[in-house]
Amino acid sequence: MATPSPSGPPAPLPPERWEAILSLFHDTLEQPAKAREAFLRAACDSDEALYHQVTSLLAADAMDDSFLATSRPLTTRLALEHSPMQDKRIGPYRVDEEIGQGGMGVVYRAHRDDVGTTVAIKFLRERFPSAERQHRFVTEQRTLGRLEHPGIARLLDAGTTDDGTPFFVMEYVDGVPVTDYCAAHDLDLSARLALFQQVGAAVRYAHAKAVVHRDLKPSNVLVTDTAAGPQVKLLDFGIAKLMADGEGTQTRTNERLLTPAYAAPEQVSEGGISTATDVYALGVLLYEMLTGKRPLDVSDTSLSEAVERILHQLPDAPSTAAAHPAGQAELPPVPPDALRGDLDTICEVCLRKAPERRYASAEALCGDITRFQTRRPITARPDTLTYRTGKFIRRHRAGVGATAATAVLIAALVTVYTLQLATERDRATEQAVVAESVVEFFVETLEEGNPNAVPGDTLTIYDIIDRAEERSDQLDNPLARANVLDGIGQVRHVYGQFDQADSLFTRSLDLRRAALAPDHPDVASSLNHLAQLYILQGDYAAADSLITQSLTILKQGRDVKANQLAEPTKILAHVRYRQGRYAEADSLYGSTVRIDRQANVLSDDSRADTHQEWGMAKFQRADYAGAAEQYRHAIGYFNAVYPEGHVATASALANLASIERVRGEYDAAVAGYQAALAMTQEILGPRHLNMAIIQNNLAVTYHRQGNVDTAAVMMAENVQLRQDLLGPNHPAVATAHNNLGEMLRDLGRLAEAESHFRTALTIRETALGPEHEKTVTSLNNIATLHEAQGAYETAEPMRRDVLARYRASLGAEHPRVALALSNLGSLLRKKGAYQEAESVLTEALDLRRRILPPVHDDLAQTLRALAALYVAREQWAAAEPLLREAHSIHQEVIPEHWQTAQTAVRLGQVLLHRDQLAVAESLLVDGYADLHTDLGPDAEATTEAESTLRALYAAWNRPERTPQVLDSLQVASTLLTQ
Amino acid sequence: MSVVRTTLSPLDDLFDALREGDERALEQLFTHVYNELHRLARVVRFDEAPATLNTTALVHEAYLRLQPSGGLDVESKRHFLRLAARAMRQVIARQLRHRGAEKRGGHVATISFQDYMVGTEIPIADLITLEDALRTLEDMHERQVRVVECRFYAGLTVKETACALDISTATVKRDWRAARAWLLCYLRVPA
Repeated sequence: MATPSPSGPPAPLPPERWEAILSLFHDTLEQPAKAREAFLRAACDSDEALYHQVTSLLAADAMDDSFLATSRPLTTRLALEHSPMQDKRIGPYRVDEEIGQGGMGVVYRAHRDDVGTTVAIKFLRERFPSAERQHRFVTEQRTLGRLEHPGIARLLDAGTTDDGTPFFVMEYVDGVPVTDYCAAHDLDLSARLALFQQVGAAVRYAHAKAVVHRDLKPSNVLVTDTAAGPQVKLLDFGIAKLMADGEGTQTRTNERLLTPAYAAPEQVSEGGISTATDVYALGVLLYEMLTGKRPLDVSDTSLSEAVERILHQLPDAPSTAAAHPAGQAELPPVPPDALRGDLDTICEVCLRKAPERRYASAEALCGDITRFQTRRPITARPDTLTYRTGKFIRRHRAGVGATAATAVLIAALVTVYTLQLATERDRATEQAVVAESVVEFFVETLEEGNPNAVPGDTLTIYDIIDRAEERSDQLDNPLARANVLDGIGQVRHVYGQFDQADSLFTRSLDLRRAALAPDHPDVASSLNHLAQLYILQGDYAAADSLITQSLTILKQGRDVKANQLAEPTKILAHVRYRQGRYAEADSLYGSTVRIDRQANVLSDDSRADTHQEWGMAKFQRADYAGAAEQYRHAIGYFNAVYPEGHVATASALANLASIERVRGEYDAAVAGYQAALAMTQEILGPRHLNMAIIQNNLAVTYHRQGNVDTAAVMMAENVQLRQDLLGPNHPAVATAHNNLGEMLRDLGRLAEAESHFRTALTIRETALGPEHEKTVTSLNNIATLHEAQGAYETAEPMRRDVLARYRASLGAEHPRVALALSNLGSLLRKKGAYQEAESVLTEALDLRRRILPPVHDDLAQTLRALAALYVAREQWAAAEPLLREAHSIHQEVIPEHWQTAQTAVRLGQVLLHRDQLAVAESLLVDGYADLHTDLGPDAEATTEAESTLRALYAAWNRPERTPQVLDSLQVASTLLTQ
Repeated sequence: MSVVRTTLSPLDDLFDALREGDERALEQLFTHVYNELHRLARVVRFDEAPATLNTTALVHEAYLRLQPSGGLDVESKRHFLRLAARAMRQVIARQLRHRGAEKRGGHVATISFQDYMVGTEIPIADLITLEDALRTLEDMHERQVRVVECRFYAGLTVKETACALDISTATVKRDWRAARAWLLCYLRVPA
């Protein structure tokens, strides 16, 4: 056997020799253990060397507990020790001790002998593959060195050691990761947000200097306690970029493996990195600080699985996560109720998969957090149709980074002005001069870029915009300047920088007003832009005033083309809708569409919005057919723009289905809701409020359609979903419980129905108050249930309660009070408490007479109820006038309805007892015939009529007429029904 | 400033060439694989401390990243795995050398995925000696060395190893058993 010598590798055996050893080795192993020795001896014959060699192998084979284990699956992790740098001297620093290991290298504490300062030095694991890379590293780190902010750990120096190991010297931060800090100090929500704002401030600063962090995570966000309170410090700013190899896959690979839990989708696919990438990481950080959990769990998965989740899995809302804390969570979550709503939205916006749909900057994010902290409405909207992000971004779906979109925008602006230039070049007019200088300006700005920016990727976009804004003062021509400011304002608008957009548009407007005639269309254009900003912020009054001015200008102006009116008309229509002035909105949308048809000025998605909103306006005016038509147009356009589906399309489908439902077209409605539901589920996932709303409507439609079983099952799911999303005490959950109760009641499952009504009642009492209309409705539902089951004793106090609550909240002269009185009176009558029933019903009747027109079904109901009371007490004279009145109302209002026939029968009954037999006969005969036709021979009302007829003929002493009449009536009615 | 995708067509061509038996393509392919693994190996996996290399995951990762758009046929995948395993071995060897470990000594801890060998310590010196021993074994029986690369360095299963090397699983087991025994002898690991 080759004996190993410690000083070098052994000499190899000749292959044939090794083969011989091998076959003997295997053959021996096939023998039973006891027989091996003998076998081997025999096989080796006199070859001692062979014997020893095989024996050694067999001995080694028997060793099981070595790192070269035999049969175990060998997935190993080799933990490699870092090369100890302790006590080394690096420039003026002496390395002390290791303080941590990071993704890219090891960190040591070090100190400077001469000055006595303490620093941290991070040694990176890998050397540079080329001198060129090394040079780039040196120049780029200078940029990072210029980041001076209390929230950022300063980069002091960088270099490479003798053996080529790169290192960074950084400010030493003695702190703990921010999540640990929150846990250790048991911080409440406002304290956590305050810390987060510090993080945001640091990131904002860096972004303003065109530096993206790329690797934000708690271990890079340390907190130290200072005299002035906790101070956040961000580490490793921009280092990730610095260490990237260059373009292409390499960069992506490195970043991909860095920290998947914090990696944005574009970091694991091949999208562009931008400030929005940091916003994503900030979102993850915020989420973790608030809930103690990360939004996506990628801890124990393979890489490809992690990538899949980052790209496609939608995280739970923070409030949901906080409601189910992780078992051994170190950081306890903030109470979910505090997170529900705005903070949920803020996180959701940060964590959107498409970068251009997030907050465009840390500034925007912090702005919304501040608004939340100061209880103002936030600017972010959850993903619904009404959130506008500007047409440029809408056209570009996920995958296109900020660069492309803004580049398109700028290119478009340049094109517009270049075109303008081309057409006006022949006329040496003011406009040509303006257009030319604008084009030149933008092109120059683009070419110039920013000397301070880190070269590469999308960071320079913000810089370009800032630079353009700075440079705009250099333009002499005020109109050119106005145009530039307007263009920049549009970009800022698109990125959610509303305050800046506001100021830019205003400045542009002022310049134009000063330099142009007051009725110039460009002035109107500025007004349009400002109005759109105000709409986004909910200030409809301001938007109204601006748009109205704009339209006035455009309509009066001399140089105005019709197509310029389309956009402002649409905006005004929207404002009117929001103001509840639906008739005007209706007509304005119509104008918008007309103008667009001629001038072809709107984009398809703008048309989709227009038709959708027009539909909504028509719906409000109860023009259901018109609304349905508009929704159909909207759906057509949405499908053209978003063939793969979109929340807006789903919304339009659901709206159309609602109309169909209201009009009783249940099959169409079901199909429509199902389509909307499927699309919503695909886009937003099954746990989203939009799903809950559509599902509710679908279930209610099934109910109306008569498909009550299906409806109840679906509604039960809806209850659960709403509970999961909103918590068990939200009024919307009560609505679902209530709806479910009604369905169960109709299925005859009365105990369950009552339990849901009760749950709805409890929730509503707490959330809406005991006198809220919905709360009382719930109570009323329970009372009705009890009454229907004959449980008068329990129903009565509830009816009284309903009455009291309506009186308290609505006043004495309200239709609902009358209804409650009526219900109570009927109950009392059924119970036999005639005296009180009479007084209550009389009160109800008087009230209804006061507040209703003289011919109204509700009045007839009360008249019947009171008459029934008198009939029960055989007070025929009192009953007669009431039934006469009721009958005459019914004949006018619902002549074909069986209730009219029933009233006729009851009147006939009374007249019978008052000996007006002939009149009674004619009423009874007609009434019986109608009831027989409408309800059939076995219905309660029909049999009641039949027995009254018999009684009549008996009293008339013409009992023989009974069968004659009845037969003929029955024959007649049979003929009718056939 | 571009976000251009790096095209994979050079690798497409290489795999094609490989299928046609072009030996140089193999070399170039190996370079690609090695570079890729090398880059991957530079970075830490999910937790921050201690620095770990999940070799199997890296090999699969490299496979995902390097495979041409249509995926690889069986033959090419074989080549790939084989190369990956060899590359992995070289990557680790280089890591060890770079640390200057042979001068200073120290330990490498092996943690098995299934917690079989939690906490087993391998002296770094042994890993380096292993490398030397493998070089020797390569002159004696190349296939056995490939099996060691696949099983130990790349963490492939017996079946995957059989597939990669185009041999039967029985052969894999025999080769591994024999190679292991020889290596242990050489390393003189105490019983």
